[in-house]
Amino acid sequence: MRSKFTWIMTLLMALTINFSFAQEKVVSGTVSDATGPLPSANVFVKGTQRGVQTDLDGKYSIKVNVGETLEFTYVGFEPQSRVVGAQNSYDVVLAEGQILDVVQKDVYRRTTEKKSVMAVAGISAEAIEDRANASVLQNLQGQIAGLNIGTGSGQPGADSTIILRGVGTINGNVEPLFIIDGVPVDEDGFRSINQNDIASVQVYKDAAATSIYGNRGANGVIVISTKRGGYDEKMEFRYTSQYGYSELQPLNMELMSSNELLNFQKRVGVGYGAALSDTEIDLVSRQNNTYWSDIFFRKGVTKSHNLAITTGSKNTNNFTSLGYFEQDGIFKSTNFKRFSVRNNFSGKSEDGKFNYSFNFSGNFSRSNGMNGAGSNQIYFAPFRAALHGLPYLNPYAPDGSVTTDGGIAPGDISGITVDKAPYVLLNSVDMNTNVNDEIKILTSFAADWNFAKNLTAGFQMGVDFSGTRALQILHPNSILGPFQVNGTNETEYGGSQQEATSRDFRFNSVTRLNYNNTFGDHTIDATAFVEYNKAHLDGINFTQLGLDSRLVGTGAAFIPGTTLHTDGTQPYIPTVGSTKVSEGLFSYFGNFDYDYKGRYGVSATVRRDASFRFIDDNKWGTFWSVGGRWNIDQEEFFSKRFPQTELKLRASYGTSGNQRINNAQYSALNRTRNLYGQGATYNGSVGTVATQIGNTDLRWEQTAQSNIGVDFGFWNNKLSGSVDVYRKRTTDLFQPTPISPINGTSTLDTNIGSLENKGVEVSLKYNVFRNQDWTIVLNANTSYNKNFIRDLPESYDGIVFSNGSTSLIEGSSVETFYVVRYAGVNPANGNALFYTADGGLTETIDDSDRVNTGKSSYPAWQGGFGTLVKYKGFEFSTQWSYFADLYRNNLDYGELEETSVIDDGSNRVASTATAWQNPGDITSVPRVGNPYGAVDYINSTDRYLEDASFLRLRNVLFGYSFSKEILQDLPISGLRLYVQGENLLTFSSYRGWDAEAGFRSTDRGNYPTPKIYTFGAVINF
Amino acid sequence: MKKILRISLLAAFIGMMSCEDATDIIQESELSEELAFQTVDDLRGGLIGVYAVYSPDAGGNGSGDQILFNDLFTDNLKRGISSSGQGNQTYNFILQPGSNFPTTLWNSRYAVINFSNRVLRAWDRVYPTLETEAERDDANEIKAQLLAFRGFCHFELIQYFATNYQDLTAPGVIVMDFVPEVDQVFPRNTVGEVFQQIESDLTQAAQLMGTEFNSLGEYTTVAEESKFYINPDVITAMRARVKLFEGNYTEAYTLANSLLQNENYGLSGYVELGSLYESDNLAAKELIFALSRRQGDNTITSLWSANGAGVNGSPFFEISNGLLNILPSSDVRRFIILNTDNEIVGLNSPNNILPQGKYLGATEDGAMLNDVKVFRAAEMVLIRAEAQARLGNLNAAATDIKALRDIRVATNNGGNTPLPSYANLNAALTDILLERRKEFALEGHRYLDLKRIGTEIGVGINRESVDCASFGADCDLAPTSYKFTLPIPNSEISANPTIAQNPGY
Repeated sequence: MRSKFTWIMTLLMALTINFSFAQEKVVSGTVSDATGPLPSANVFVKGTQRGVQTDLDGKYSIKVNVGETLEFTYVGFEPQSRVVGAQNSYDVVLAEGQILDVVQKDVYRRTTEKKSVMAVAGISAEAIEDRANASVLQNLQGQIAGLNIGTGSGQPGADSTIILRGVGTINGNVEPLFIIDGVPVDEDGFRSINQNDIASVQVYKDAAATSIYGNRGANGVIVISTKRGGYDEKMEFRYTSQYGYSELQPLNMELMSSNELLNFQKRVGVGYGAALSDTEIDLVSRQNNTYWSDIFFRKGVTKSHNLAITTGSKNTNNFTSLGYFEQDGIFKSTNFKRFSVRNNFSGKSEDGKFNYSFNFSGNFSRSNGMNGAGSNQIYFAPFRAALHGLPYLNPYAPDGSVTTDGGIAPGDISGITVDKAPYVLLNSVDMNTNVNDEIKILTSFAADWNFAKNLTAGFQMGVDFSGTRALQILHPNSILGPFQVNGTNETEYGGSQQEATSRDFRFNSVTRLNYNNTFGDHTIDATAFVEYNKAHLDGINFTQLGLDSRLVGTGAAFIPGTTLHTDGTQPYIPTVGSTKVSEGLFSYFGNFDYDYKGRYGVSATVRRDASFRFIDDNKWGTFWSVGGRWNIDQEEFFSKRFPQTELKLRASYGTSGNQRINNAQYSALNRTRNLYGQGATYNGSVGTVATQIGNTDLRWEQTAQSNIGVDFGFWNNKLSGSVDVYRKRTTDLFQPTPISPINGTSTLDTNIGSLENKGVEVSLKYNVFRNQDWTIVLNANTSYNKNFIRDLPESYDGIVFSNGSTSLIEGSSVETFYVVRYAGVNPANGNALFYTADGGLTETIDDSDRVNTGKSSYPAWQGGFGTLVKYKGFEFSTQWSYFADLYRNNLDYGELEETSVIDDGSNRVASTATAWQNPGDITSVPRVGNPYGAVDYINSTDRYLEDASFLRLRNVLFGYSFSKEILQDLPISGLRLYVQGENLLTFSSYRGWDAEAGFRSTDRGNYPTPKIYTFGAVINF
Repeated sequence: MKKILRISLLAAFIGMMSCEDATDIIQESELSEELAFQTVDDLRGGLIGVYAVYSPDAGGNGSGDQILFNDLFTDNLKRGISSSGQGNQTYNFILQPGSNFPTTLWNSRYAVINFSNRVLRAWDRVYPTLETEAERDDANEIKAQLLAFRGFCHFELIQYFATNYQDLTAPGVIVMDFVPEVDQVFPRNTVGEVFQQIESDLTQAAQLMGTEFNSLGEYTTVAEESKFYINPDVITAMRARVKLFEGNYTEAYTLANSLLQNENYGLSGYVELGSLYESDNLAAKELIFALSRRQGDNTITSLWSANGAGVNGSPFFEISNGLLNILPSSDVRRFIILNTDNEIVGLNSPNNILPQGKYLGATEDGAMLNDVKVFRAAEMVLIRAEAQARLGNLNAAATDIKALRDIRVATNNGGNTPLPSYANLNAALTDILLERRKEFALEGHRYLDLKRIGTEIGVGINRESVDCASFGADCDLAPTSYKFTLPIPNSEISANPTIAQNPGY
């Protein structure tokens, strides 16, 4: 059978050759460098899109016509070419040398790294695709200088906060603009995007890079490209799969055991332990010593499957991928699932003058989550219960399983006491529903047409659609169910169901006309653009109180609103809501690039933008930038003296605007107008009230940024990298300015004040060693950013203090802690002591004693480093990340060390036992019954203000790629296996589960991020 | 030719997108002032909005407004069994410009004033367009209520933020009789100027309202619910309270007396009084003005407890032993103030569980809801008694106090309590202060009574030691303390460089 098949194939080949006019044939050979074969080197047929890569032994084979030229390239090596003649084999030895120029392409421009005047940093697919995080953004942490990524929740798929080069606004959007394949997308929707589809991520930092994004570029731009097929490529399948586990990180604090807690309670005479004898305490603590984290948290499973198919013919190519990802959260009953499908199609005309592409990505994700992170409502705060639960409570039901109600009957008022909160939460976890579904469709079309000599017209449009549904059901038979209708347990039916669905449709189109020409040594590239953006959000929501417990799940369970309660009220009437809002932007702009011999280059952009948010003269904003470069290595005087060195100097200055003056999308939609609304009711009548005071003078926030950078490569790029220094000033900050409460409100958002970020970024890559078998590479990046407020509204007198722990202070960073300094405990009476502003001591927390601590919840230092070691088929890599000089209020610890009240149903940390007892005691924990509770310490003092710096082993991977020889008898062309882990090690003094918290200023009962271990396989066939 | 075609095609494509639909967007949900107020019904809608915003009962979980502050800061409350520290700072006499209560009182009263002024501005625009006499009468009664709100809120502000009510040149609060521009700020007016504004608003309100609330039918179909609106009698009650604080005792007497002479009002016997609190009985003669609280409104019971009145309602505040001790079991008010669901272990026992019973939140309006009683006949009796005492007629004062006690305490001894005998004004005021404490506990009076009468006769806050121990707080606050005047809150200070802070802060 087999031999027959081969024979037929041979015959077909023969026929094909006979019909071919050109002398096409297959040539093969080996690509190597001085030390041995180079795997994955590129072999292209010049002037075509045909190309192959060498295998692990550096071997290639490719179909060519006699007379065509083969080009051999490999990153870090000088390219070579061979004209195909009679020979059927071409072996090439590449010499180390120039880095192959990497293409930088965003929505508007396409250039190369060498000719770029911009500060851009990128990472490729390899750095992210093997990772096991549900959201691709989490994988970027520590990999790009200046890019801060903070994830404040361990819920799989949780959104991260991304800040580039420091916080550039107080109330506006702080996150960069995200572009996927040319389409601006919602920065919060990344959980639905399959990271296996991503080919590269590039971060645009300076004004030369971002000014062209005018209205949305002030916080930087992150450009994501997805994978595509190549022309004339044979069909290839790539299957990847992962399986693994996630678990809780260790808790960096010492909780009391049953014995310790009961003895402490006995000593202070409050709580359960107070009334027990020593024998009873012994007995109780021998019976139960529960570590509630073990009960609430678990080991979760992660699995993923991806199949990608690429193919290409002469004028079309295609990339198709299917993905499935599933990850259990480490907290009981939380998980995440995603199904995704993508197709990227490209086509061109015969003469190559018309190119077009169409991308479609459809995704569905479902997140079963847990509300109540950070909540102060203890019966609704699951993570707090896991940390605070009393150790002497028994977590098990009589049959030995974990209890789901702790013996508390639904609606039993006397049974629900603060100490029983863990039972209530276990019950909620078991019975209630909290689902967030998202359908995400990203689709785009782009075409360009070289319709006349040097002139190209282009058009692209894209759609980002998100359909979401959030469903929360509080089961009527849960412990808290009977209270849901009117706050008592007296209604006949209990429980509640809240549901919200929304559709978010964002449309973007860019039309452009480009002129490009080279006159001798001069190259000019000029483009004019028109851009249109429109976004629509609509949604409906309802809350139904009162469910029939037999039918929970859909409207079938809803008790009719007309049903009467025994007291004559109609408590089951649902509340409903409906929203519909729109946003829009319109812009025209131009870009001009000039290059001389690849030695000097200038790039300039000017842009006019209109935002629907502003009126009259403030509607249009003008933003511009200029950038220049000097490729010093292209100068003869330099290249002669330093032949193996690359050096480029860049400088840029420019402005960009922020019209998203309030952080959330679809907010601050009409702040220029006075508005009224109905809804305030009195005695059953509906009233009309003022809902907004307009500010007609509202305008763009503007950021002006200057940047100087150097890109370098020494010793044939054995050591390469870049250094950038920048200064970014935001003016006309949108922030609440106090207005007299005689206006009916006490603040009004106005454009006032300015802030500045300045810093240094360094990225380095060092190819330590490379030979036939070995590759050793080190990379590191670090950034320092100083953020400070330059001006605040005059009336504030240099400080905006509004009762929290952080304030805005001129000369200090955003979110600077402005609190009273804790001085310890007065040995005489056990009260807490505080420093007054002038250094004296007081027992009263007084706002006038607050001082600027100079500490902020945003880090000054951020960076990462990694290693890559390869030996034959083996690879071992590590990726570390760190944040330094950031602080956070540890309310968890504060509550666990609470001595103001004792019988609050919460466990304590061991240090609480050192609380002051007798005059003369020297301790740091105030007497039992002192007037200040944990929240007071958090809001007003630095007692629990902790250094949240950390160094974390973000990722470690060990893998093996099987060689061609081993696989030759198998129907596959490549096989790679690996094990990898996320967050395996963390070094931090922060007392809690997780030092990382998404730049929150206060931590209370949050969902910690997990450790994840996975085993993965990549199969090509 | 072909090229021109191609280029014009391209140009047409670019031109396809227009700019305005992206840059001039009015959201469908927007409502301007012109559109909001066009008819007399719209103006009434604006007035209803003002009623909805006025909420001395606002708050919960330790924060609040007038109703909670007066008792929490003084001596009528102690820590409840389910406390997790709610109200700790206030109970500890910690009062600062950033504190919750002064900020809430200042901001919310000025919000009511601002909202009233906005409707009054629209009123001036709409009134000339009204075509029928009936509409104009209706509009006049709307204006009367708006002015009454404006005057009364100025009065409530000055009660808390002026150091001295009778020094007419002392700093008062800001008088706002128009809608300011957002960048305008004003210094404090003098006490005299503020009382002048209050007087002018309330007398104008009384004139516009006349003697009958004719348009009641436009508000409610239930006649008794006139007590939910600022009817002519409510304006009289407001003026009586204002005159007492202002020190115009003759007028205070006249106004209070006129209401007590009105056959519709009078002290309620214990059954009727019980029904007033238990079931919000509007027919009770005792009641002059209450704020309606219905399903969906702020639940007043949650000022003291999380899940309902009673021991099982997770009370974080309970009534103090000090208050309990002055209410003998013969006093009907004991059974109103103290929840029948209580656990009394012994006199001044730290284990006494004393949930409040004044707001049981068990009416047909819904759980944890009760109307807010703003003016009662008992207050008119006590105003009249105090005015008479201050005017030198101590016997008449004693007669009034006896009358009140007879109906409150009399149930077991034949409706006859001894006639008090006051040797001097001080003795009369001492007794009146005591009676006010019993009568108005949890109704938002205690702090103001101590400020007004206590400082005059040298009585400060003096808590039972078991009560202050429940919070680990100081028991006493001297009557001379600057804390009997609230600080001007940060919300005003940071916006207004012309504002002067009160002494001590």
